[in-house]
Amino acid sequence: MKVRIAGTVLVAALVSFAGYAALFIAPDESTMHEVQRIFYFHLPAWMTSFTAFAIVFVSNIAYLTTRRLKWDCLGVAAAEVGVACCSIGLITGPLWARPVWGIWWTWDARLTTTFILWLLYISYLLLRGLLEDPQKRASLSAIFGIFAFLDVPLVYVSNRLWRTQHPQPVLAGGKGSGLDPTMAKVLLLCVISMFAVMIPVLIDRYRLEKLRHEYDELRIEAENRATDPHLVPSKGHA
Amino acid sequence: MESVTDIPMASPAHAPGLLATSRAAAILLTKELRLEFRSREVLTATVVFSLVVITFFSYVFEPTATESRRYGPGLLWIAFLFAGSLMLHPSFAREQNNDTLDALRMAPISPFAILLGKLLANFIFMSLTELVLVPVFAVFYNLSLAGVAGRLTLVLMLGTLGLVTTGTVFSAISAHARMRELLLPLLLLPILAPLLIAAVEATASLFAEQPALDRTWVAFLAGFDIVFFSASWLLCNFLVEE
Repeated sequence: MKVRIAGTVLVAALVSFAGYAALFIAPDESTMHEVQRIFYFHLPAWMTSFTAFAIVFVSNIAYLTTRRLKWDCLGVAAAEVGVACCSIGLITGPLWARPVWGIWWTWDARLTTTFILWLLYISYLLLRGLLEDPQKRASLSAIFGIFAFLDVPLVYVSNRLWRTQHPQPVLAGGKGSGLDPTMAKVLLLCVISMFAVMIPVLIDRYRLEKLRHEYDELRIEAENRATDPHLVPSKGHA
Repeated sequence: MESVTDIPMASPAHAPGLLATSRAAAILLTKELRLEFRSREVLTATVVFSLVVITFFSYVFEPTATESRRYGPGLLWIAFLFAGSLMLHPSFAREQNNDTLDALRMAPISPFAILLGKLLANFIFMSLTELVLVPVFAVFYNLSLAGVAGRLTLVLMLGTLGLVTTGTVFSAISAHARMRELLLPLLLLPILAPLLIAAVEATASLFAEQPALDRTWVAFLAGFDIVFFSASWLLCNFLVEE
């Protein structure tokens, strides 16, 4: 409990400082000015959501190969965190695009890919909600998760071939890319703080899902005992 | 179901070979076709639904030749994708009414044979729908099919294969869920976004004033089919297990 409180305080302090740094310490961008500061939230949100979706993919494969429900719990936890972070990216993006591009949204490769990605993982969560049996839910949603992840590069390539408008990657994007050193430090801080929020939430959600599974198992066992006259209630089971 | 017993008995201890799998798939395909052509329920519903969709499109824009060239391919593929997302639902859901999927599982055949039989049947149903719909569409929207029929068939076949591959797998997934009729389009349509773009662009290149098949998009369609067909093959054990 103490660790939890200390952790919460630490993460809150980190996030507050990152927010302050993004808004006041980072230097002014030469053409976009204040609007550009949303970048310090937009890029970390995208990084965390993509990491989360990659975790979903890995846990889907791990579940199908090991059949251990903990992987399924990790999958759903990561999918929820990923959708949340992806939503932040999808909200901050248009807020920036309106003053800079003059439009809220454009059907560009990266925007469309992100939007389809968001839809796919919402479908993944929806599918899980509609499958009753825990084993079936785990294996069938894992298959869908793998299909969804395989689709992402295809969505990207197809939209890339079709039309594109999103700014070229600022980091490691070839000639003319790169950041002012202070900007880079602030960005790194923001990325760290976003992950510092995402990882504890992911772990908490994972634990909650495991508890739900345990509760379901106990409930089913209790129901079986109640309906089966041959079973004598035994000690040692809740 | 009677035809399932005709399958050559491979020892269950050994994984059935390629030949046994294709024979089993062929028998299951016959079963699917016989079942469908006895009632023709799915085919009729799909064709009528697609006709309603393309009729409604004519209210949305003026079906002159220039307009049709611009919007036609997109409308055609949206009609196919919507029709497919409805048509593919009974593929596995139908097996649940009398628990016939359990009988298929108990048969000494590879799970891929079950999937492949259904996939091929759906491919045939979807192709038949397209065979009716494309000429009707060409007549209604003033598009000329002369000279491009062969290349158009290639594009349609590649697009349809991708649609039925993902759709048959998702039909097996959604068959176990609540609200399964509603769920299948929700799972299927976002996955098909790249297929829609590629199929529309490839078809549009054939309906242009100077028809020339866009090879990039044809290659993309083939790539889509290969990726999801391989994934279905790799994951089919988990798909039809108890």
